Amino acid sequence: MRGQASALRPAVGHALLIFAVAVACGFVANTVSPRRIPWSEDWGNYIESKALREGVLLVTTSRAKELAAQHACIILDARPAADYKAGRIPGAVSLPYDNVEEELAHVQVLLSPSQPIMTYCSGKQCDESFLLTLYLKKAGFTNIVLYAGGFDQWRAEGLPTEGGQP
Amino acid sequence: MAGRGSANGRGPTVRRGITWLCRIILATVFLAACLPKIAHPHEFALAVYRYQMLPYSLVNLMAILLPWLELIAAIALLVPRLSDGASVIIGTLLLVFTTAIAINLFRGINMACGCFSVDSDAETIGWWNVARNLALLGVTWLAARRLPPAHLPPQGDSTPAA
Repeated sequence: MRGQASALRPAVGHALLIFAVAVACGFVANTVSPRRIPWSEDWGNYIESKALREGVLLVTTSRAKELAAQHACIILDARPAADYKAGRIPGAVSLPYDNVEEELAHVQVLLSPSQPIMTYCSGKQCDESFLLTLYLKKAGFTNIVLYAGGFDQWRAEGLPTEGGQP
Repeated sequence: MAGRGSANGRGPTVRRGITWLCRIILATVFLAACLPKIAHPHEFALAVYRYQMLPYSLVNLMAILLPWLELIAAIALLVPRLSDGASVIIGTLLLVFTTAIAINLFRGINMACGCFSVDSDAETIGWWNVARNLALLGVTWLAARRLPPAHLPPQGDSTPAA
């Protein structure tokens, strides 16, 4: 036991030394590198700020509710299929971003280039709807809005949902 | 007696060989892992963000420092005096990574691992990532073993007390 303790002490000391050197290297690298990133970033608003930079229009929950109620657009759920099956915004169609190339072929019959589309995923912490929006824009769809609050915010505001396969 | 002495001479040599092989394997793995992260810090920060494990204010700090910790620990593994500390660091990192992957698998979050690539389209996490990391933990345990200096005779060659 004493032997193990005496072996552990230098190991911990060396580990702390390695950690200190690594921290120093990291600080220096991020100070001088042309690819340096901010020490802290507003990841809480990551989706919104990225969307604004890419020229993607965002909608609030009340606007998303109007669009859903009026059946004014195709609502695309960018989450994995299992999440979609468990619960979704009423009328939403599943187009999981993690398999978008294959799934788009099934959904494309519903879409035209100027078709109004609203995308969403689980919430502000997921970027699948944002990535899906960019993918669709590159594919030629021009009329897309992003509901950044996502299914979590929709549900938190007590709005109706549907679950199970349509 | 002479035969036993020869067997005792081979044992420590094999043990030394296995320990060094494990250190080289781990150093290679972690060097391969850290270089894309150092080269593309924003993309790695995005991978850290997607794990949803850290307060948002710490995401970038982790993205900046973690790859350098992997790099320095990988190099230190190959320095005999520092390999014990490097093994502690690498073992800790593997435990943290494995836990983070397992938690996100239970959450059902579908995302790229960010382990060896910062590409968001890279292969998504799965239980094989957990299995791989557990295997690497085993390799780390073997790499952490203390070795006597090479010039000392192996145990069992000394004349037994009368």
